[in-house]
Amino acid sequence: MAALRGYRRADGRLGARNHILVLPSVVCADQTATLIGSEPGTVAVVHQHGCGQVGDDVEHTEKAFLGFATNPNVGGAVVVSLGCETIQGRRLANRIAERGQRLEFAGIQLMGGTANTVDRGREAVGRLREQLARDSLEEGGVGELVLGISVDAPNDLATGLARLAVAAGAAVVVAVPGRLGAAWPDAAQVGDGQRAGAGLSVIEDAGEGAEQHVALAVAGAQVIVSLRGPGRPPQGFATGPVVAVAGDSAIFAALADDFDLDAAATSPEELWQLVVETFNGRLTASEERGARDFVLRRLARTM
Amino acid sequence: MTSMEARPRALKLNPRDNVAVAVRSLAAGEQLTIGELEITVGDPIPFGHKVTLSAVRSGGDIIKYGEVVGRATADIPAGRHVHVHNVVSSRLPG
Amino acid sequence: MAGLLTGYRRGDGRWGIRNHVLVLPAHTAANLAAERITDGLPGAVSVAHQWEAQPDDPDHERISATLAGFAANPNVFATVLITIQESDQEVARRATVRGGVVHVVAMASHRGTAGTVAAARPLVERLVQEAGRQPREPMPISGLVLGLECGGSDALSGITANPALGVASDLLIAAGGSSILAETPELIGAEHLLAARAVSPEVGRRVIEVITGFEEMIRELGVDVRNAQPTPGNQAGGLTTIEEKSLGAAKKGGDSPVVGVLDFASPPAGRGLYIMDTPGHDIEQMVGMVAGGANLAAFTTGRGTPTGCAIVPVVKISTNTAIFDRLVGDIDLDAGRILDGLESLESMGGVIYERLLAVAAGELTSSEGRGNREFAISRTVSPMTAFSG
Repeated sequence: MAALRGYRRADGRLGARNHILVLPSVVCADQTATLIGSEPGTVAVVHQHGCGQVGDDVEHTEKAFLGFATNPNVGGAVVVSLGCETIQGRRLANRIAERGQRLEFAGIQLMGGTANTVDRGREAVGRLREQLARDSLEEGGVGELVLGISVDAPNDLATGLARLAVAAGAAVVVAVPGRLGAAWPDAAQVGDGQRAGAGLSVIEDAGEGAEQHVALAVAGAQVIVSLRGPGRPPQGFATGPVVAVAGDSAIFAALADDFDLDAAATSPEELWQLVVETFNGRLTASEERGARDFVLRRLARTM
Repeated sequence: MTSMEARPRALKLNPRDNVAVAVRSLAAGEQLTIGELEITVGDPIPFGHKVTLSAVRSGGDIIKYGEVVGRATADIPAGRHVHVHNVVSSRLPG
Repeated sequence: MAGLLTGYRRGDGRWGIRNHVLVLPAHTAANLAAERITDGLPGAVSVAHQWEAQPDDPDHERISATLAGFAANPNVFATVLITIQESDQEVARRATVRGGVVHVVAMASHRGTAGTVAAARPLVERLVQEAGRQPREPMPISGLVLGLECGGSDALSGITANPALGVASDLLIAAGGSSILAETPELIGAEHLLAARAVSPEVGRRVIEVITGFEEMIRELGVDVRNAQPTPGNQAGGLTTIEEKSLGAAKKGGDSPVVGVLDFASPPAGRGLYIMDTPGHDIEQMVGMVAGGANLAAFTTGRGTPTGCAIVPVVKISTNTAIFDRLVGDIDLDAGRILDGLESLESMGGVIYERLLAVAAGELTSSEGRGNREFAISRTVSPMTAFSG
């Protein structure tokens, strides 16, 4: 099996992509982040979180932001904060930097409004871009791959792909809704915000669809394969490739441009081959169309 | 009242209130005149924060806008900073 | 007094003060298509959200009502709803019942994102042209529904900006218009004052029920809310407890009688001051009021916030001059002038009212100029909790 080529991170992990992420710590900073992230080579996400959250939901969200921004596919991050939010942007930024990520911070209340913050944020993106320009692709082994698999329910293709990938030495982490992890009795459980270890592991209560993509990225996945059930539309992810496999031929035909494969016409071997090619630079349909999905599972209602 | 000098340093919003709101930062030791009341500020009070106009016993009501806005968790003398360190909500104490 | 108020007459008798073409994804997988359709097309605007449209979602009803109400807001000339399947007609049907004009484009009929953009773009361009040809007509003030909001509150909120906005709201209501006071958790501690102003005992009971119900829900959750209500920024600004924040927040509603209590995203049936049951989250609240038909909004802020709404002009008012000066270009009016004796509450209320009428007549707000379009959908339950039983 071919080796991997990727971007070596400060913590030793290998990234399949080299994105500059512009991450608002709160919905109120969405537009400012979007304006900062309009520069080429950057990806700005929008979301509706970061304020009025309580209990476990706060810690869950902060862990998600932290794991998302330190996934090996992210070469540098700009946290854009309002200043008065529940999930304090400055603290989040510090935690991201502590994990070795190249990190810049822009605060709207601190820097004096949208226009000033956008100017400063774009300068920050420029600094990151200079650093990323010096990154070069390095060789790595399949053992450095963390493959994320997203499912609604256990299915043969997911099981077959996981078996092949683990046999080749990759780590495989499967995200499932609810308590469906029992379908993989030998898998290790990955807790909220934790990174997946070697071999096969499972994230329970990971939500559905694009919510699982966030959970998988937090666990360290560089490539995600979506193996949802019949009728589900394809979704991408802001900072990584998603190989979207249609659950049935009807939905595949209807949305063929946005899917990569039809489950009915795909073998685990083909899928595994595509995963390796995707790691090594082949763009998925979601990357081709520029999907920036970032859908975060919430554990409690907003206050 | 158009000059900065004429601007009040703290506002008592309702006759029933036992706290005033600092509308400029107050230093410890400053003398504050609110109506007929003269108090010495005992803590630095940041802009927008509250200062006691009279002593409040632990468990006593903090009154602002003429309404109870919280309960003291310690004895608070007059002139002191009133905030999350010595007051809890009567409604959602956390 | 501003000149004659003008607006866009809608088929059902409501009035819009803007004439947007809204491209609304019915599913989170349609976000990118919606954005691409409106890219570089002035007059058309899209929002993005995270709803998966699962029929078994326990919040299905609330989310569907929110999207439908947003699509049917009177500031929208027409909505193009991007669905996955042709059969996904629920939001369109509900929006039509609410007075909206909705066209559905299904991604499954166009092989995905690129085909959907290609198919919907000419439709949206045509709608933008039609919207541009609709004349503004003289409009009664009763056509205005003002959403009242505060965010990033500080201790000055309840002393300057909120009571001044209350004066403006009272002026609007006296002239025949309507206002919506919301943010249920930020009314905890002020419910007795609001209930005393209710037009009937039933409305008064409903006010108490909704506000204490929210408080009870928080207690039952058994979570520590101390960094959510008040938020860290509120606390830095001098607000200590939720009831202190609420007593200041409720001042946005002025002294007008409370004529009714609205469910999240529900439209007022009459005129006057309404209370809508929403979270305190700035954007979820704004979307709820706009989905209920607010065509204009006023937003007071102590810490300063740049947010706006895709389809409704938001007039932002600072509680203190330092923030107004600091957040260059993000805030429309400064109620901090009250502290310096440059305005009284009454005169500042008049200034706000005049600006609201000018904005209603077409003047752009700061967030409109920047294209702010933050969007969020309020949920009441965690889907995970429901899934796991």
